[in-house]
Amino acid sequence: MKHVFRIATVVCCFNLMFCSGMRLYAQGKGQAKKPAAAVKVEMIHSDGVELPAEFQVSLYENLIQQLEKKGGFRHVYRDGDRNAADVPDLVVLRSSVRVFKPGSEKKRQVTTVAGATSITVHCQFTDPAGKVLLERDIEGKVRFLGGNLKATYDFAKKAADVARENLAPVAGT
Amino acid sequence: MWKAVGLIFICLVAALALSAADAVYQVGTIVAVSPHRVEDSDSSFARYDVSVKVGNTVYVVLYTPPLGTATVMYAAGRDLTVQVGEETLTANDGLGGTVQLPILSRATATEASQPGTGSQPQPSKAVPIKSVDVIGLTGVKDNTGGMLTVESGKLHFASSKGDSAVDSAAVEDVITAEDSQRMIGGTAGTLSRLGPYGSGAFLSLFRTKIDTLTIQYRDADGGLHGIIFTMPQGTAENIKRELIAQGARTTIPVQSSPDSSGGAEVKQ
Repeated sequence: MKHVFRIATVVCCFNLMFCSGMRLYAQGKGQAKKPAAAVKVEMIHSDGVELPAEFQVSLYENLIQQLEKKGGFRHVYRDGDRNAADVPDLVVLRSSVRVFKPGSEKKRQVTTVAGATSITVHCQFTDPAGKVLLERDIEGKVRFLGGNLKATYDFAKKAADVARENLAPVAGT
Repeated sequence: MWKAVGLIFICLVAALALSAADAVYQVGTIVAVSPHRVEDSDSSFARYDVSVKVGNTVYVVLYTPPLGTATVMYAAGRDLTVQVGEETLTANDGLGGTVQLPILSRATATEASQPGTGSQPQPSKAVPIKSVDVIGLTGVKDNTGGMLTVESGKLHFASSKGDSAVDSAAVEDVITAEDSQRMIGGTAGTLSRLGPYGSGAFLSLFRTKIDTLTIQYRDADGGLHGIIFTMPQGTAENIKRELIAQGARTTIPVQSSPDSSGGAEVKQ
């Protein structure tokens, strides 16, 4: 009887600790999140970095596709879209390329170790007034299979994950 | 004495023959190719209207490929040696023989040689180019193959999976570049990578050069779109030239030579 009481007390303590821990984690996560209904993606800039036009466009289009697919926003607006002007909870995504290593698809296919293409983009999420909500350097890479533009797809997937985790109103939608 | 006179005579005849041959054969340039359209056509034979510029005249000749191939569609800008007759154009076939092409029409090329003037004697603006929509075209899945044409102020992309069109006037930037891709692509290409003793890697050395065409345009709401196409080498610059002639804008001017698509254009 004595043992049963002790075991029950320990189990209760563990339950209490577990539940309070989960609740604190959820609260903390909720505080870091600044929910937004929509996002407007501005054209990628490459100040000081020589970036081929197809990479610039591929970064932009992949970013929009991935944000629509898994960014968790109700609407994704394009650069210059007039419909974005009246949206209340709008986040503006400004991106600029910091590092670009062109790599070589031929080298990758022949050697399998050389010729990686990588691109590092500084992403800045702001509110319409320009106040910075979140800043990250996100890298896209292609090491083995795929063309050079696949690095832009890799970047876009990571950027959409960051947006979903930190800014989207309902995670995973 | 007679031997020397005979030798001089032979040399004179040979020189005359050579100079006469030079005068008859001339260098012509293929300026446009379009499928030949007739109402009662037998669809089993593919035929093409090929516009060849010789000197100051553009001849439109009827060409029937011997094996029914469509490679002539990508021949715009190519030079060839031709002999102009009354009703036919005789061209070297590149294999040591000649081919007789019936002349359908002829016109002076005073303004036709200048891009963007819109005074081509034949419908050169409707030449479809085989291309791949890599990304960005509305209503078409990424990496879809199809035919690209610039016609009636629009850039048309037609494929078995869907069609799409972009207004030339809405295009803010057109940029061409060069790239290369593995010669063996698709499923066969993927399987060939698994070849033993590094044969898959070895096959990757064999590559075909391609052109890339990058377009930026605005939709009706002002939203910025980007599209990337790939196409056979030497064709992107022609598309760019036609787009600009029909109202598109570019940050990098069109190159002067029609068959050189230029190196990678880099944006800052």
